[in-house]
Amino acid sequence: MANVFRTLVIKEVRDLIKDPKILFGMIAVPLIMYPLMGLAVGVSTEAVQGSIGTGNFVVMDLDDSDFSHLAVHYFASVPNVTVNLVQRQGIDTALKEVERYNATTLVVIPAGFGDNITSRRGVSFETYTPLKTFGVAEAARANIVSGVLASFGNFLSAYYIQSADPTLNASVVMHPLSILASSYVNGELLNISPATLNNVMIGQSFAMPIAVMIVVILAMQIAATAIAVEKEQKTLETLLTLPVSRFNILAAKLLGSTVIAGLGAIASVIGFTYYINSFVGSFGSAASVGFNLSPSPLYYIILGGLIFLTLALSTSMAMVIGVFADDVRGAQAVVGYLILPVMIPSFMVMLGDLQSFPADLQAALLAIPFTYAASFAKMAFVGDFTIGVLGLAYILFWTVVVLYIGSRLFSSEKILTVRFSFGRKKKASSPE
Amino acid sequence: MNAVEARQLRKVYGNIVALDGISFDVRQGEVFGLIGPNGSGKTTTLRILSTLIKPTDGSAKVLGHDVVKEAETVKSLVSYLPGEAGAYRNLTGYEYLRFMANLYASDSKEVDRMVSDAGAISGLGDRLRDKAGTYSQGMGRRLLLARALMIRPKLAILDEPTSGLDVVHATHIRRMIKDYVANFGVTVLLSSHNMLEVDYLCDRIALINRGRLLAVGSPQEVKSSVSAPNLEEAFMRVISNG
Repeated sequence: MANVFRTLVIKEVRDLIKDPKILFGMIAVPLIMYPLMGLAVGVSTEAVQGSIGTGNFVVMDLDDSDFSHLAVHYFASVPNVTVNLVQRQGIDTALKEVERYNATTLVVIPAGFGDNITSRRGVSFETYTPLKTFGVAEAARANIVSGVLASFGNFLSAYYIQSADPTLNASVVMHPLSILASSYVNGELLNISPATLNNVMIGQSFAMPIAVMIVVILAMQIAATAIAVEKEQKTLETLLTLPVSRFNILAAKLLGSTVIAGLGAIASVIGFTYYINSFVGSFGSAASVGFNLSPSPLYYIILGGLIFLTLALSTSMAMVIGVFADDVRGAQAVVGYLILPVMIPSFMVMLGDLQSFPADLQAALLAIPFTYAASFAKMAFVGDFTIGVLGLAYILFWTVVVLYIGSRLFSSEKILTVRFSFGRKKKASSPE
Repeated sequence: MNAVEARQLRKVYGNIVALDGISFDVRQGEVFGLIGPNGSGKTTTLRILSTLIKPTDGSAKVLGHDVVKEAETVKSLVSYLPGEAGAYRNLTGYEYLRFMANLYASDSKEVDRMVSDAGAISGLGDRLRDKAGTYSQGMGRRLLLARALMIRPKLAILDEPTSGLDVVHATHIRRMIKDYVANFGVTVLLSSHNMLEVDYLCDRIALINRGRLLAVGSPQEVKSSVSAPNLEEAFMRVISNG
């Protein structure tokens, strides 16, 4: 019987993988699409970083004092900043100089700038920034200029403090307090602030729940159409008269769907990881901030179990409901209804912490079996695996219930006679 | 022992009586035809005998095995070709036949024998290397008939085997059925609308209308019983009498 079952599974996998819609839509496209998206993001990011990496501005000095000269000298001393000093002229013509130098901003040092500093009064710069594209790079370049000008303010503060009392440390006066933040994770003390740690862990918080969600949705899409395809290709009647138990047919279809979904998920995760790395790299990695944590083997065992059972439950549910669909289109409509309970908890636990939700919302989410894998995926370093173990038992219970219903349904002639046109009017099969 | 023994078979779908207590026997090694108009109960009868559906009442045995109580045994003796059937579009003809053969054969040698037989029955030649989705209706039907016969079943149940086919494909299929029965002693139970086909293929026939059996016998006996010159006329007279 194992040979017959293997034959059925191989046929399922072969039939699915040879389907261009599945081969391209679920395996090739994620492998190509996500890296291409990542490449596009990477190219854009590099272009933006390249263009904002250097500040380039035009300075018109209307004061011509020692302090205005000092300011220009200060600007020019900032790394990666190019200062183009232009003659005194009208703003309109000076803006043409901005264009000529391919600069970002015209900075005007007004008359009386030096006198005001000498008199310890406030001073100001005037800036004129031509905007053309309203893009990220344009705004970032303008921010660089603002940053350089603002840093001159700090320089002035330090100058005022030092000249008022040479015994004072200007840096201490300006920044009298510093916070040495540490994080305590799973029994290990890390000299890193929680904010930095969160940035590093962004992959863990987002990538895993998204990956789980993708796998489950893919598996459901394939499983829901498994019987509908047989009906559409008019192969179901023949299949049901073969010398194979109907439970074996059902199990082979579940396994075949899961294998293809697994391949699709691997393709999605590889593509998605490449995509995430193309811009998350800038947040830093665990190693780059000086620590290296890895979850315990038990975490991986429980997470693997949760993902497997979630897959088993979702494919079983999709297949059982898909049995009633007239055709593939109807089956896909069924999946549309089932995707919501998968996506909602995944997104909620991805964006927030389950424990921080109100009690009734927590209860509602925990009643949905699809919450557990996504929620537990975030708990790599928590050390408390209670929710994972509870999840395993809860999902197993529902999987057994749905599989039982599925096998009963599959064993009856309802699989041939009961049909619903989802989204259209209901009809019953007519006997010959 | 008869290949089929149907006794008082009834099948009811809601308010519709599809079969109203029909009884007939099919002898081993013969080609038996169920003849009747659309909705007469032919397909329902064939579906019950192939274990797809259960009768509401009555009983049926295939080679002595009850189709309800011994469904798994019956499935191993029967090969069913549904009236509206297809092959997996993404598999080639060979892959499809090999998949089916693997479910029946005891070893790889037998698988090869079955696939080889199926190649000969279908007459599709190199087209078996193409995906079934690229086949015409006639080629698809030839592939499916080859699948049904290659396992040399004790009983082949063929629901309108040539329905919707052109004369070339239909003739090929009829010849294949006739040859296979002669060479391997397979019993065939088929349904058909085509009286020419029935006359050519069947040793005995049963006329069925509105779920009830009206006449059973050889084509000649049925024609003689109502003094009809051909089966078509006999069919019309039996229906009007019944």
